[in-house]
Amino acid sequence: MSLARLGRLREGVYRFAAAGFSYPASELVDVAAGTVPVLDDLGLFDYAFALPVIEAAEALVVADLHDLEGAYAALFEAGVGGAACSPHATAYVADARRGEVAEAQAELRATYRGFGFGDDIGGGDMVDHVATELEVMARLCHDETRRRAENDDPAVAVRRQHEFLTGSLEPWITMFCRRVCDADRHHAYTALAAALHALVEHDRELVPLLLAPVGCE
Amino acid sequence: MTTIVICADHGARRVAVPGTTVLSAPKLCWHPGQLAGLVPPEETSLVLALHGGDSATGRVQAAVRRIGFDPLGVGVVDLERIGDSRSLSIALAALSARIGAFPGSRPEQVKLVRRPTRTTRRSLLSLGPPAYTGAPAIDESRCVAHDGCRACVSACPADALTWGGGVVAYDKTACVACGICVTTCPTGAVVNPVVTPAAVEAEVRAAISASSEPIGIRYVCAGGPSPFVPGWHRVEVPCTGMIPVGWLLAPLALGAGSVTAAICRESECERGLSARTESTLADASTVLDAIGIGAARVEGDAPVPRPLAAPSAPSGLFDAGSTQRSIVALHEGFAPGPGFVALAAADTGSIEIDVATCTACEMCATVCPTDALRSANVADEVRIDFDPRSCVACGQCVTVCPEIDRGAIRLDRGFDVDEWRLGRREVRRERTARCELCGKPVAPAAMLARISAVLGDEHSGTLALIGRRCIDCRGR
Repeated sequence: MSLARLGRLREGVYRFAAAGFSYPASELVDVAAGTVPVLDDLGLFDYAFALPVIEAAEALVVADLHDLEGAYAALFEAGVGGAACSPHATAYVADARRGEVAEAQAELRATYRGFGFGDDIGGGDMVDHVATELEVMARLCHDETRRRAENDDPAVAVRRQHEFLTGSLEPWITMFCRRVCDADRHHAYTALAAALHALVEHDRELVPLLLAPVGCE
Repeated sequence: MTTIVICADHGARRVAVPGTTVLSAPKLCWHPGQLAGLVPPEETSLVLALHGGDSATGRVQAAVRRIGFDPLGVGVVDLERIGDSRSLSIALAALSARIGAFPGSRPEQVKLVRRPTRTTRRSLLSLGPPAYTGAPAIDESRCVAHDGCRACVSACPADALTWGGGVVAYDKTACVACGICVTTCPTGAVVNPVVTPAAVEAEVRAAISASSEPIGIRYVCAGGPSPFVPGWHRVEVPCTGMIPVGWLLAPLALGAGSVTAAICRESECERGLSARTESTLADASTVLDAIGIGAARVEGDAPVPRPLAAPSAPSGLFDAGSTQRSIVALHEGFAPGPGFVALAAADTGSIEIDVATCTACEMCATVCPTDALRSANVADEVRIDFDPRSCVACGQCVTVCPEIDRGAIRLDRGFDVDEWRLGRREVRRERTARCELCGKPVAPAAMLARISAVLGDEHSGTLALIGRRCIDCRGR
């Protein structure tokens, strides 16, 4: 197992999770079906997050698109009292009454620019949407892989992953995943939230190890 | 149903384990991928018997994950630590029972194993699939950190647990996964999926019942150097430093002939906890001597003697408070107790309150995590009582006592079975001053006297008001 291969695997899993938490499109089922063999080739089963990821992919493959759209709206789109489980980071870490939301979003936008990503990141989703943040992690993993392939120093990309994980994703993602598991009546989103929780929990330990200097045995 | 797959690398071993399907696979250690074709998809539990293990752990875990099993819930017997077919049958039966009690793992309870001599990122990730072990998670519904309990924090050798604002925070990166927090938690709120009290109890019970001859129970560190000893069943725990005295006594009450814990040499112990294991063994010896059973039962000598006659075996003997329950179970039917027996580190204790200096403020009862100390306001009195059978000697009562400098409360580590027989006893009673206007309790008289002594004559007017009226009526 090389570190470049691990980077590609993590990129793939983040990208899969980002697709899963975007508004369900007709390609989603194909993405889910195509993801498993690719990730398997990259050594998915070597890692603790494999089983939840496989379960999420299987749940999406058999899901009906209309049911998914209904579940997505029920869980993530604002109703009268707000979304059951807001997919926006700022709903968890910023106080809207104090006007902190716009400030937090601006900070995120600045962070993305600092990483070298354009304003188009996340497609139609807000900068603090879970799908956007997962897409950012996927791109940072891709950057790490590219640097390794080009014999460039990957430390910058790994440091950015660490910074983004600890500063942006970790403070809210566990709470978000718990809320989804509690509120979801459609198995697919529960499975997806479990996979995301497993991935972030794994990276919480793995990324600092990737940052450690390479020593001698 | 459980499937057992045995590596037949050095010749097949024939064993039969009731209630399981036993299969054999050539070179399973080297090619664990063949499990996919061997284990029926409807199977719920899996036990593997492999040669060695440490270097193969990651590959084996990946292979079992591929067939849909949580690797932390798969039992692995190390064939190189098993001497004969009889021992293997017992080990397989015991491990099958243990994994039957596996509670499942959540992502926060899974931890990357960092091998001590290969801690670099290159070695971790380029030598093969990573291996994982269990990590503790705190069940907030059972944790009493909000009352001030920090037993796990004090016990953690790696400072991975911290207390703040009534909550215990856990740092998985700092954690050395020794398991001490699991056995020191007085309420069973810390759960590590690979070493739950229920699973260890299931393994010990199964090993004893699977053996037709007297059997000894030897706790060993997972992956440690402990060799096979005939007549002894190895119970793997993350570190033998986590074993409380109760886990050494409980197997004797369940019918084991002997019990012991392997002590790693100081230089071999990654976590530096061998002194703790020694101290626990010494305490177990003291207990057994004191109640007339004899310390030889925990000295680890072969051959194993016959088990104690008619052992009493209630379930839950390994749960929080195992030391008290095990001593009671072992002591039943024996002679009267020897009086108070002092122990160095055991999780059982007795408290004494000095009536002359205690102000009956009830802080000790408020923070007691097991309700061994309880307080109540009855009529015009504050009453504090104590049940030594529930005391886990965590010391919180001593820590919070505002009059500790004057010796208001004392905790003695140890036990007194005669005191246990008496059960809950009153340790403090104090008259409560009542509000002259509404009749509500104001404060214990001893506390008012203490405040008076501290403030002196200068504030006598204020004190007189505080002593006569409750907080609601003082402004009236």
